Amino acid sequence: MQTVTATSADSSENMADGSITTMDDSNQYLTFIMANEEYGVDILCVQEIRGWESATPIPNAPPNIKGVINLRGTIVPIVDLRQCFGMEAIEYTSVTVVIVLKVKTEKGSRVVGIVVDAVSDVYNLTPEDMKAPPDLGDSVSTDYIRGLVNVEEKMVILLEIDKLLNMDELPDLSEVSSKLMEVAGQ
Amino acid sequence: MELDPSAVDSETINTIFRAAHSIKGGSATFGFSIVADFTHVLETLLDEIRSDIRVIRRDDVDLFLQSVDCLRELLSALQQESTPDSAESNRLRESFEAILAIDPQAASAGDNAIEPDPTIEQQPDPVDSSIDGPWHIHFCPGPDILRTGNEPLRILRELEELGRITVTPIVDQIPDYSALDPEACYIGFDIIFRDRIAKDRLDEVFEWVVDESDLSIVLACHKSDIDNTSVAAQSAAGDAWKIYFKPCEDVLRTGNEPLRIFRELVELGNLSVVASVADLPGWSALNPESCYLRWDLDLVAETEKSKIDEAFEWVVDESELSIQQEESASADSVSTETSNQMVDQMDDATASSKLAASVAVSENAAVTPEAENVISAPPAANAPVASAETKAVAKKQSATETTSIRVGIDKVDTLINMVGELVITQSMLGQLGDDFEMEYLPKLREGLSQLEQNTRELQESVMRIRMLPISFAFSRFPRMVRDLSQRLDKKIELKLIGEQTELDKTVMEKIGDPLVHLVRNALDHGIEQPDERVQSGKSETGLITLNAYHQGGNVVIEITDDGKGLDRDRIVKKAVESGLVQASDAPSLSNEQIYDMIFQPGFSTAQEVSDVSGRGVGMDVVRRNIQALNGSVEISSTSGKGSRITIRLPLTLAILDGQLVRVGSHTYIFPLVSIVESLQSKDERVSRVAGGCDVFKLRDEYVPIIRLHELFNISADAKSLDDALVVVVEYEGEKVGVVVDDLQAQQQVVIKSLEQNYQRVEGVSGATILGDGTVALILDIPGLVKLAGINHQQTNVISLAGSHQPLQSIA
Repeated sequence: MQTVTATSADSSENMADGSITTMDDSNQYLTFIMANEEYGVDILCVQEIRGWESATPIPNAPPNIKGVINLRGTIVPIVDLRQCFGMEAIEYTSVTVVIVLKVKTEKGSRVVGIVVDAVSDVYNLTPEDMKAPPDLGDSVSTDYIRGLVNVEEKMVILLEIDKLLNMDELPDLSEVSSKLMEVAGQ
Repeated sequence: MELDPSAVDSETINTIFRAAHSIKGGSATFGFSIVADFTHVLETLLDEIRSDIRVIRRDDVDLFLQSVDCLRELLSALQQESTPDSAESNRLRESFEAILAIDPQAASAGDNAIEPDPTIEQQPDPVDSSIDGPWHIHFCPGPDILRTGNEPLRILRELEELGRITVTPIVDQIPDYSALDPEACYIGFDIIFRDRIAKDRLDEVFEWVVDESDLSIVLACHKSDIDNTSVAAQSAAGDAWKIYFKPCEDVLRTGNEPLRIFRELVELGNLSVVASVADLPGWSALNPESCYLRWDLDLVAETEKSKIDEAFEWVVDESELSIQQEESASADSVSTETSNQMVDQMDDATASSKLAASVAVSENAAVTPEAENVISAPPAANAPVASAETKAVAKKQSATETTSIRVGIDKVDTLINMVGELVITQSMLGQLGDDFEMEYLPKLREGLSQLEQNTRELQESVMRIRMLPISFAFSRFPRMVRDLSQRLDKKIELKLIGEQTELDKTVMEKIGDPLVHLVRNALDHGIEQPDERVQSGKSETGLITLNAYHQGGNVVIEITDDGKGLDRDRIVKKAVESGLVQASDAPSLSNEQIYDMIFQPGFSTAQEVSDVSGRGVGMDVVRRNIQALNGSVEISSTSGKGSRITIRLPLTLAILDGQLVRVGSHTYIFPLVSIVESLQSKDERVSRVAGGCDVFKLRDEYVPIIRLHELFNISADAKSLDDALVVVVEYEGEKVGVVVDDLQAQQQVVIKSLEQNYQRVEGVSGATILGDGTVALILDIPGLVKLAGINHQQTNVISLAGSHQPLQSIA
């Protein structure tokens, strides 16, 4: 079992200082909860975390694009990650969270918000902690998964956010998540 | 380059001259010798024009313009830190040199060519008896001169200030590299001072060095004296050879390079070269690959004829070559001749001195700094040089930082003022809020309205920062019209009005090309040939007017020509041919509708395709570009009187006058410019025609309708058209009705990009943020029409199928 240190937001700053010398190949990941599953994204991509506010829908957009919001003068599209992963859409409440991510693309970077159930934790992970995503068969691409990590007996799926949200059309990941669940269950 | 050969304005020439001089100075300072050399020739010619020696001709102006292009290329090449292609500049340089060499003689045809030019040009001036010239100065500073703190270059510069000088370095004293003392001065100077001046003044310049130097200042006509001595001294060291070398025209093509030969000769001994450019043809007949020069060479060297023959070995068959050994005794006559040629050289100006210089340069790199001084510099004062240099530097900066804009200081000051006021209003409101009671309510309202005003003013002045005078777009036209009119053999005058009209920078960048196209069209198709114009009772010179002015929130640009106007019949004929319109309908079409057809893709009435225009692509693109800017373009024309194209553009791309509409719970924004009218609809006025498209009867027209809620898959309040409103919008002359639930406010909206973080959305051109912080989408009319599947063919069919009335619109 890998040793994983969970750190609070406060100590993460100290970690960042220390990481220059001791943990040069470790990365911090922000994890969030969707349908009781924990997912992680590279914390350097995260621009801010905000509460859900109503977005302006875009005509004829796919259902997982909830619309656009005004983020201090920039128009930012909001993606419902639940729907990307083929999970059941749930009612947004005041505790529903939008994570605003800065995604790198060929043309530069774009800002995208993702709707998740709740934000969970920040983990400090090294590449050795990560397990490659299992082979899920030819029909399912694992390009969008950076790796799997076990934290305190729980599986965390680390997402390759640049690839996931880079596409002009968001990939349908419903199969990925369901297969992953199967794998995890075994 | 507002240079007109018919009316030479000395001020204009001076301006150009100063610019050329500053380019030269600047480039020489930074070691861009190609640019410096090139500009130098340009400058010499300008100088002559400036001092009225030469009458400027049309060819010259052309050459100047070409040289400007060439310079620009050189500079951009240098900026990219690549090696500039010097072929073009060399060619131009040659032609400049040709003009320099030929013209003064042609101008003063009666004068003896050998007579030095300066005397001619000086004749009109009142001559002071003590003032004399030209002077020949022989100046060989002692080797220690640099150590005494004297600087020969400074002396030369002082001379330059006094008058025009031609300097030839004497480099035969330079020892071998091994023996060379870097602190010693081995270079002498032969200076020909071309202006008249008192000898005292010249003596003054040399005051500090006269003791340590070999100096002689004599009138140029007497200078054979010194030449005698100097050449005699040289000839003691070797034999004098006189070589006449005239290569055939093809010599350069055979891979032989006269300069290389001279370089070989220089290795043999002391060489002086005089090039004759008498055979140079006119600029028009000049073949840049041919060699028209011939050379008289004087070689003083201890050598044998075979050695000299060797140098010419490769070219002797194709050249006229004579090599004679001069008797030592005749050294006198040689040198006298040389001196005559030296004076002659002043006519030939740079052509020869340049060659001499380049030979000298190749001989020893140590002379390079002095090469710059081998110029016949004008009596330019220091001040313009200094200011000109800074100008050149400033120009450079602006060229590299293309993304910045220059903002007038007044604009910035207004901005600062407004921010100041805003701060005051803010603090006032803050005070009010600290302990608010209901009695302060009027005060609060007042403060808020002040805040609103401040914000609006601030917004306007921030927008003004992006505004540039339209002269930035207009400035390229004088040159273009000039070039094109020459190519088309037409006489055209271009009038620019309202150059100070300000326009958003982005709009300006995008309107440039359409404008070029329209002006080119006016030139090519609009304005007739001069004889044709005279026949139709117009003045020989055609007039093209570019007029820009503000009208409402728009900028209007008008392009007017007084040419033959659009040919209605020809357009109709073409339109019928290409099936755009039925022949039977043609007579009922209004002029406006007919003229509108020239914007159709592939529509051209030109009998033949020229390199200027006629492919029928242009106008289509013009209209597309202008529409992309939310602008419009229209044509009016009177046969035989000319035509006018009017372009309307929004002042800025960042702000749009919008009409807010509501569909269900959603708010959308129509660009106000595209709205024709809004009205309450009635279900019975809508009929469904074949093809599944609904049309709405608007007075005597049928307008296809788009139901926005269907298109966008949203729910609307109005279940039937009776409760809804129809917003009639216009797109490419076509009317379309859009069904919405409600009209809301009209307001200016700031356009935000959707593509920046998302992607293009069909039917939506962008987004904006409303007063309450929510996002509203701005509708894109062409996109909506496309999304609704209504295309023009279909609407044509519809209107024909309806057949209730004559064809109303063709687009």
